[in-house]
Amino acid sequence: MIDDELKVGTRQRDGVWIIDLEGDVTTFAEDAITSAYEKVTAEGAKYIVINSRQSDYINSAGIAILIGVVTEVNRQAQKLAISGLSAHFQKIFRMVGLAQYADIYAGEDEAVAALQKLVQAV
Amino acid sequence: MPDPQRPSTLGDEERVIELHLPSRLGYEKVAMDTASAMAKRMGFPLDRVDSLRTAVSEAVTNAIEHGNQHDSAMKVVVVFTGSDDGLIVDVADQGRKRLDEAATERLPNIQQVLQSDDKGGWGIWLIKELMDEVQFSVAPTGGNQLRMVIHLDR
Amino acid sequence: MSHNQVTIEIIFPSELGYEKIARDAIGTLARNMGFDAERVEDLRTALSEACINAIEHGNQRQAHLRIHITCTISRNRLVIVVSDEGLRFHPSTRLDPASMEQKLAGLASARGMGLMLIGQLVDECGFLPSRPGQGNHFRLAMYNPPRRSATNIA
Repeated sequence: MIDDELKVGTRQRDGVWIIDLEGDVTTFAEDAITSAYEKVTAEGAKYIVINSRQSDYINSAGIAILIGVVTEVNRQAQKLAISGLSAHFQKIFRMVGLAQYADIYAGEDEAVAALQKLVQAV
Repeated sequence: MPDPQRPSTLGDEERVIELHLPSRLGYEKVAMDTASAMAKRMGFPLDRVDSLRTAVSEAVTNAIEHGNQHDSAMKVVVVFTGSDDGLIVDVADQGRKRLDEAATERLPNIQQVLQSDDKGGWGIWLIKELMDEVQFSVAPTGGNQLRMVIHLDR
Repeated sequence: MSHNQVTIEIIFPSELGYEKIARDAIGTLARNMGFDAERVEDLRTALSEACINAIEHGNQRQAHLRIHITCTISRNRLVIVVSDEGLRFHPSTRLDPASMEQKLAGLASARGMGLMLIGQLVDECGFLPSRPGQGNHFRLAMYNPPRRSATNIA
């Protein structure tokens, strides 16, 4: 059966790396998300935005994967922001406490702007 | 990605979703949304998904109105079976009113249908137009059984 | 069953991904009952998590086993029971999650997070009493207007 398989892309905007997520963020997304994070880290990313393209389905397994990324981000002294979540999933991310470890923004521009302030501060 | 728990995967006959719906108008939407969700996941193009939604709507509405005579305690059972070939949708009611299959063979006469109280035949004709295969049968217990098949084009 | 209640059943294979279809069907039911958009989303997410627990834990991801959802609709309340075939028996409910700190230290599971989310999103939830071999039955209830219970435990 064809699922809403996650498509992941990476790109850069003025010193900020963006990981685009399109599709469902579930247990099946693990390889794609982890590879994208490793790729941008290898490219020297210090400021990363995980940009969900209005994912319709994010479950606790998917959130657990993102928690795994946050764990690594902390270890590597990187900075992570999350954008593009629907109002409902912004609420869910706050409920599980992810907001304490990664700032959550409605839109990509906001997230990038916030991280860029840190880039400039260095 | 191998899973340490080694879950089993489904064989052909096992991709089955079953719905038991009360015979009250409105609940056909549950069957329609289930049909869309399943058909989209199987990769059917959107125009076929829409056809399927309409066909399922007609079939379940018929079962509610005719087969089960709007008795909300009676159930309409919809079974979706997915395979590499396509999707089979079976709609069964408890058959208070037997479906007149002969009526479904005739092209609808719009004038007649608009005047008639019994609009059931028109819906069946529509289902036949929209689906690849349609079969009618009667269950041993007397209920109507309608099978609709939509094939995945390769 | 009082004459004001109707029941709907949804039965599907224990394979991850099918919870999306059940989620859509339940969303339709809740919308039709007049729950507002935010509550419908809350219920859809809670239901997905409950199904994942049943698929992964109760049925150990054996796809030939089934998940059985029974919805009971009355005028201002939607009750959903998610049942698995109980390969893995769930003896108690612990809805307090490991803290985010523990999770970040890699100590806690996504499953605990799922149960915690459910507890925050629906009005009532918990495992119904059952015995090993009889399957696990997880009950969720949503009221319209909302009626939060102080604690959500079995």
